[in-house]
Amino acid sequence: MINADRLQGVIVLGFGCALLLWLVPAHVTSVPGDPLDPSLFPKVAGWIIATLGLLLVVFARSDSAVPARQEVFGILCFITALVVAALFLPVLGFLPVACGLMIASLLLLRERRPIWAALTLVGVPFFVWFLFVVLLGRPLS
Amino acid sequence: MADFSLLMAGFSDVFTLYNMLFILCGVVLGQIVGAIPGLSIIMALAIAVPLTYGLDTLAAISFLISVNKGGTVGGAVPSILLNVPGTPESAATAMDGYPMAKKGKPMKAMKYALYHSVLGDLSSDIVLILLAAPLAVVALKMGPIEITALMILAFTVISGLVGDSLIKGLIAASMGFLLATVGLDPGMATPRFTFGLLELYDGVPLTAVSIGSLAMSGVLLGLLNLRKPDKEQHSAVSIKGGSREDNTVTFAEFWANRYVALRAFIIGTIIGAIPGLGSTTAGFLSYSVNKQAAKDPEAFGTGDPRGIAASETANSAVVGANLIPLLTLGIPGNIAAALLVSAFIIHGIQPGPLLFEEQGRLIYGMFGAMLVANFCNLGVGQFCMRFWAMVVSAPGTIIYPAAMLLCFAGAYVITGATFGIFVMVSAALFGYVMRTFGYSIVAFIVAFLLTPQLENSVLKARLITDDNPWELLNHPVALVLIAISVASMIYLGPRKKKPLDAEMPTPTGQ
Repeated sequence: MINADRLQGVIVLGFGCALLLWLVPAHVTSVPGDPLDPSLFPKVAGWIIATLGLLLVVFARSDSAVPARQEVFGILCFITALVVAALFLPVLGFLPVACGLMIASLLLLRERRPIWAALTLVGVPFFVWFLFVVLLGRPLS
Repeated sequence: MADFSLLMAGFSDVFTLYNMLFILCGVVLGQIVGAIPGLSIIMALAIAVPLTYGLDTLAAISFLISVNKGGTVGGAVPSILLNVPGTPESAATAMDGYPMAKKGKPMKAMKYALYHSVLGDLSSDIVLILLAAPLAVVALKMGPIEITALMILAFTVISGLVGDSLIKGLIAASMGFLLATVGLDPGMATPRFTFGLLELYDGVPLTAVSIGSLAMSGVLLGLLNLRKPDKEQHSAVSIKGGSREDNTVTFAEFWANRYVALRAFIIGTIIGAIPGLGSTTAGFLSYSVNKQAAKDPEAFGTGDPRGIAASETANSAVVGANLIPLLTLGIPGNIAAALLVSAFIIHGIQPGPLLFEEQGRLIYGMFGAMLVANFCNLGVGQFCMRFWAMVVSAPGTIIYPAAMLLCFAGAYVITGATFGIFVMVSAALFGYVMRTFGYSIVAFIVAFLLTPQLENSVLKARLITDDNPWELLNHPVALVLIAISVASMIYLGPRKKKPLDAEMPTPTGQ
């Protein structure tokens, strides 16, 4: 089985190389030799990241933990719910989207107690809306 | 030296109903969040930053500082009643707080924690007030070359001290360093890594990144823990019953711990002033030192008030002291200070030694707010401890979704568009990966925060020296700082580091 630290080292090293060979040349203006060269810091970051990735490969620990597949699935579910909520926010407004996000959370958490579920579903979105929109005067959509 | 009239004017600014109200709200919010196991002060601070957008600068800073101070007091409640630290800072408190609560004195244990927390916090605030202005005068004598060397030292020390591995700490810092280069460069104003998105021309929004990586990633982990079918159930020690003697701490009992509190205060203040170390380290170190100094060390861990005093005084003494590097050098000592920086930046203020010259009144106002917040902390804690004891049992199925929605709304408010939410969600995913694989989010955020300042200093240094590295020999302070950076890299180098906490006793059941 591949050591998790070593695998992370390879990924970091690959990212550092991608920065130096593709991302910096393609997305940063370069003026070599000029003290104001905009690509200096991104290039330095690329070299440091690549070097540290290599060091992580060499000095990998054997006891690094790996998350369970179920945990990764759970995280992806919550992230998806947040992204979908963000996409619908300009269309539906804050309160419907917030209630939808709360429904998704309750389903993912398998909450069965009706009072707590109702509080989460209705109370939390209204509390957040009241806090930002009414008390602090910040629009939410 | 500080202008006395400016100092008095700053202090008097705090005493308006508006500012006092925000201090009180901050303390109450901090104590509640601290009392809820699983939510941390950092999460509360990250979520609270967007709430301060519409506030006056002093009210905003006072509010955030009060949240931080309230959290240190509130965090002791679940440590004592549940044996589960409300915040990592209070982990050492559980070692004697929980046994004392089990002996039928939960209120007494909570009051010991409250009084010593306020004492430690107040004392370290006084040290900050006395030291910050003179140190800032010294810091002002540093030029761009010295500041560049100092930044390099800060990067190295913070990356090495937080987390178990220097390499992973430096990788985290490098990622923050890289992320900070997004946007228009400071020299030629050409876009870097903007990928055609106009929103990225001003850089990646710091507050959205902070909310995502610090608060939302923690919330996601909390939500995941709630999904686990075999999650451990903790039942709180009841605070009902008990004699009057069991519910109060007399002055004689408080005074009996004076030497413990003094040692703890010194440890907490020193650790707080060193960037990269934090309240958790201070709490455990103070507990260990005081245990070794005691004539009867075996009494520690059995409900001894000295254990509570040692932990709470030290972890609270960090709160004031960690602002010393921020106000004198512009380097945030820990993540709470980094979040304060983001609040400063939102209000158009750049932390650093110039603060005392440019924003003296505001800084003295902030000092005044810190002192007032300590007394608010004492008053609110004194009257509300019983309520916080009920908060510890609040169900996670309402707490975490509420925190998630606050992050969601806060991220929207930052940019006034869904762009902030997408940045926050990306940072949350990145933060989750970092937490899972042992990369320091502190190093990441601090590097993200310091890089623009570092880039400006490097740019000026290159122009001053005409790109001649030998010019460095004319700057002995910079040379010493670079030598310390190299020495710290060797000392903290790529080795299997034994975490400090592993050497310490752990609370029962942890």
